[in-house]
Amino acid sequence: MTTTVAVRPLTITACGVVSPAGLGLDVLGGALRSGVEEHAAPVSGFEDVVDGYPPRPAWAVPDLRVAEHLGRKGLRHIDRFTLLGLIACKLALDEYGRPLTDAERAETGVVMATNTGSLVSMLEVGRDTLLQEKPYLVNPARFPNVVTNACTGQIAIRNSLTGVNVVMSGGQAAGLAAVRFARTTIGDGRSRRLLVGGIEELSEVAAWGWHKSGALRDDAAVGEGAAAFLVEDGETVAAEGRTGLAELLGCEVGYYGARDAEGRLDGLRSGIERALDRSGLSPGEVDVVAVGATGQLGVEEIEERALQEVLGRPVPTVRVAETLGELYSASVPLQIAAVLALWRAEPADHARVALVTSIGGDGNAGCLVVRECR
Amino acid sequence: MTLDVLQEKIRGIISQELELEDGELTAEGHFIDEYDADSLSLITILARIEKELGIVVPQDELPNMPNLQGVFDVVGTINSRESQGV
Repeated sequence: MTTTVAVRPLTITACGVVSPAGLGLDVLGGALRSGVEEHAAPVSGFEDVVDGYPPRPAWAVPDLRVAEHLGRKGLRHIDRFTLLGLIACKLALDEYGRPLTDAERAETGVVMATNTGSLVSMLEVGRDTLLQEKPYLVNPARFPNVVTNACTGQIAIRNSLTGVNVVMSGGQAAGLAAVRFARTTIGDGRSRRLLVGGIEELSEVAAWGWHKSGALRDDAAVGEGAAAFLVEDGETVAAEGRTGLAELLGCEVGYYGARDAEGRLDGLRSGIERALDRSGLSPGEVDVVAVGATGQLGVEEIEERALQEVLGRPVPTVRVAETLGELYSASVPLQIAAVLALWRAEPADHARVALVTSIGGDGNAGCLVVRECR
Repeated sequence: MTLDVLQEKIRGIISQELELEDGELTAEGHFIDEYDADSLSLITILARIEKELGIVVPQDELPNMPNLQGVFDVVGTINSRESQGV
């Protein structure tokens, strides 16, 4: 066995989730156990411009009830991508039990996984710059939406969170990179607490991108959603006599080449082993696995094989994409949320352990260990 | 387009851009002081008046347009000048 340093856990003290199942962990838990009764039809980001969605399932977040969650003001030029993130963070902050004080907000940062930001906003503004007669006819109020970190900026501004503000891009595994970043930032004392998660927005362009890429099975759905976890240093939470939903333990992520299937299998397998090792846990202690490559051709098999090789036994497996669709940047955050939702729906007599694995066609892969708080 | 229709369309654009409820926007209410407008929202209003109503309002007219009545006056002047072919 290699010599590894144990990680300092992060504790999730609150969670907000927005998915095609609806808002919150409870509806997500219900959907994972018995399916979504009727998926909401996707919103068109490009009316009169694009000929609709490709011929495959596209699952949207149902009615966002934006005004109810975020008020009526200042949202006219906020895009759907940012709304998804804002609502997830609002739900997480609401769940914290009390409002954060001004001093606490100054020590709270935002770390979100996204590979693109809002594709809809980028294309809307990009298209206008080519087609409008005059520069000032490109709506200037829409322009801030085109940068990748527009959403984390809005989350910080609207909630007065002046800690670090970061987006993490790392393909399918971007959410693992966000967890790694969160641990480093809190470990270095640069933030006391962070909203960590990820966002993905369903649109015609994203759906056509997946469809034309040939990366997904023909029947695999494209989805959308966002999850945000309020995380703090685990030892601090415990020392203050508080508890949380779960601890984020070992988290390993790396790049193992886009074309080399054997290299990626080795990379993911060693990532799972290292994540368990650094969590002080053995493969035999894993209660559940939440996989991320469901529906992805050529990658799904690698993920299943790496898990089989490390665990050596069948372990209950949550396939989030079967219920919510392909979530790309938001897949790891929603895999974590799925585990929390199922644990909440089905209490157990011991602190359960989950593996959250991720591997993408781009060569990124890794694993996070999550342990239930008792 | 009659003046009434034109003014209703302008009122609609401004209400949308300033996120106001129906009936909230008055003729004399100050965009910046009373409705939280900023330079970006005012430029967006001018761009929409040009794009949707075909009336080009120069940006140096902005100081003369502190409220809805100011917009009606400026747009009315430009509109009548154009329709007289001056």
